[in-house]
Amino acid sequence: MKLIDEYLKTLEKELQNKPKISTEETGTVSQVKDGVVILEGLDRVAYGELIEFKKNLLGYVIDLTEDEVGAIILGDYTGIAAGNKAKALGYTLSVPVSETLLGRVIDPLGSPLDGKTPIKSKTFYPVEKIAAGVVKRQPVNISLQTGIKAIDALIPIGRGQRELIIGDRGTGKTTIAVDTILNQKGQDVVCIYCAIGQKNSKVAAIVELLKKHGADKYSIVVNASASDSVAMQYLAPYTASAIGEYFMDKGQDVLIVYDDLTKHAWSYRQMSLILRRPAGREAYPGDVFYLHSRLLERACRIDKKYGGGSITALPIIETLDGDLSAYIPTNVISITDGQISLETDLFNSGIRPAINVGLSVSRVGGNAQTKAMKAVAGKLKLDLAQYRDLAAFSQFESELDEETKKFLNRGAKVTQILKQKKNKPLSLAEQVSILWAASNGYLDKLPIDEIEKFETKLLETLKLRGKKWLEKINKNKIMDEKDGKDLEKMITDLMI
Amino acid sequence: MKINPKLKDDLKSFLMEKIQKEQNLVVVYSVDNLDIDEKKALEKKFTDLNWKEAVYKIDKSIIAGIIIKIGSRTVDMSLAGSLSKLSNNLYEID
Repeated sequence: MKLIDEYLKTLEKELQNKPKISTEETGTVSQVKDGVVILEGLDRVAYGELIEFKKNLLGYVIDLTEDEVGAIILGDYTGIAAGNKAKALGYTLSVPVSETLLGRVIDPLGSPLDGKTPIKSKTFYPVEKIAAGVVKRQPVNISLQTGIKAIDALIPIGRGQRELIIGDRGTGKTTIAVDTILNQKGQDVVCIYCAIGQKNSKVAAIVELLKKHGADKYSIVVNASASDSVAMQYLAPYTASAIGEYFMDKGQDVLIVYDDLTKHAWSYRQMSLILRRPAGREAYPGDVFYLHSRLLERACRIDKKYGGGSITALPIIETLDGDLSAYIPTNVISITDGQISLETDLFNSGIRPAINVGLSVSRVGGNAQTKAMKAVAGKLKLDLAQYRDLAAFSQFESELDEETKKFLNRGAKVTQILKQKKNKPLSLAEQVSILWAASNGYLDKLPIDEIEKFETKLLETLKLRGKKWLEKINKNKIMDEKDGKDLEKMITDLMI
Repeated sequence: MKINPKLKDDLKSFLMEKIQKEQNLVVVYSVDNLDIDEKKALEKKFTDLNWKEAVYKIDKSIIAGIIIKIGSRTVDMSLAGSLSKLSNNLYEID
C-alpha cells in the first residue's frame, strides 16, 4: 500500500506541474526495411544520435543524406509503420556500467537476458568511442596466461594484445577462447564474452560452463544471437568494448572475446546494403575495414601515469575451407598483433588444440612471455621447426641416419605433449614442468601412447610432492638452476 | 550539353532559399479554428517566429491544446502529447 501511495504522490506532483514548453526535433517514418528505417524531417539530428519511436523503442542514426535520415532500430522493428512519429533525444547510445555486471548476461543495450534484475547504474559509457592515443599507451609486457600449453609456449599473448583466433568451423576456436577465460580464475582479469550471431543454445552452454568452473564471478556475457536484429549484432562488440573500458579505466585488466567478427561483418553488410551504400568486394561496404580496426584499436595497455589497466582482445574469425586470404580474414589479420591458426586436418588427426604452429604468430607477445616459460619454450620452438622440415623430407627417404631419427623422435614427442584436453587449463608451473621434461629429452624413450599417462602422473606427483615448487614458479615466474634440479629429481624418480 | 555553371548556382541558391523557407514555416495544429485573440496571444508568447506566413490546421486527434511545428521542430502543448508522456512515465516507474 505504501508503495502505491508513493506512486500516486509522484503522479500528482507530475500532473500539478504546469506543462513545460520545450521544442522537440521530430520526424516521420517514410520507409521501413529489415531493421532499418528511413525518416523524413529530423533536420537537426546528429550522426550517432538516438531517436525514440513509441514507448521505449529506440533508433540509432547511422545515415544522413540531404533530405532523409537512416536509423537502425534497437529492438523489435515489426511494430513500426510508415507515418509513425519519431523524436530526437539529443544524446548518443550508451550502456550502464558497474561492478554488478559481473556474472550477468546482457544484450547490446545493457538489458538483462538472464531473467535477473535490470542493471542499475549512474555511470554510462558511450558505445562508440575513439581509442586511447599514443601518449596514453604503454608497450605490452605482462603475459596473459591462456592455460593452453601450445599457446603459452609458442604464441604467447600479452595483456593489451589483440590476438586473432582463425579457423574453419568446428576446429575449436571458441574452445580456446573459453579455456582462456576459465584460466583467468584468481588472476584479477575481468573477462567479457561477446557472442555475435551465435546460436542461443551455444551461448547458453558457454554460460553454463562458466558457472560450472566458477568463472562467472569475473565474467560478463554480451549476447546478440542469430535471431536478434542485425542492428543488435552490429552493436554487440562495441558494447562489450565500452564495458571493458569501464573496468580498464579503473585500472583493471580486461579480456574480451569477440565471437565472431565474420558474422559481425555480415550484419554490417546487410545494414549497408539496405541503406544503399555503394558495395565493394564481396558486397561489403567501403568502410568494413574501419568497422573492425576502430573496434580492435580500443584494445590497449594504458600507461601507469594514466591509471594502468588494459584490454586484451581475442577476436575470432571463421574461414571457409581454410582460406586465410579471403576479404575479412586478411583485413583482421592485418589489424591484429598476430593470429592463432586452427586447421581441420590437424583437428581430425587428433592434434587438439588444432593449432598450425607454422602459420600462427604473436607479434608482441614475446616481450610479455614469463622468464620461466621463455627458458623452456626457446628450445621447444627449435625442436618443432627442425621436426617440420625433416618430417616433410623423411617421407622420401627410407634410410635415415641416427641424428635425423633423433630429431624426428623428439619432434613427435613434442607434438604429442602439446596436445591438451578441452576445459583443462594448466597453470604456468605445470606447463613449464611438462615442457621442460620434453625439451630435455626425458620423453624420448617413452612410446607415443604413454606420453599422456606420463603427463598425468607428473602432474599428480607435482601436486603431492612438489606443491612448494609449483607455488614458487607460479609466484616468481622464474625457474633458476635449483628449481631445474628439483624438477629433474622428481622426473627421474617418476621414470623408474 | 554543358550546363552553364551560373545557372547551376542560381538553381542551387533558389532551392536553398525554398528549403530555408520551408524549415522556418510555422504550422499551428488545433482542435478548432483559433480566433484572433488566441492568435495574438501566441504571437506574443513566441516572438521569434515568423507569424506572417503561419499556417493554421485543424487536427481533432490532439484532443485539446495546440501543437506548433517549425520545420522539423515541434512544440507540443496538446493534451494528447502530455497523455502520451504520462503513459511513458507510468511505464518507467513500473
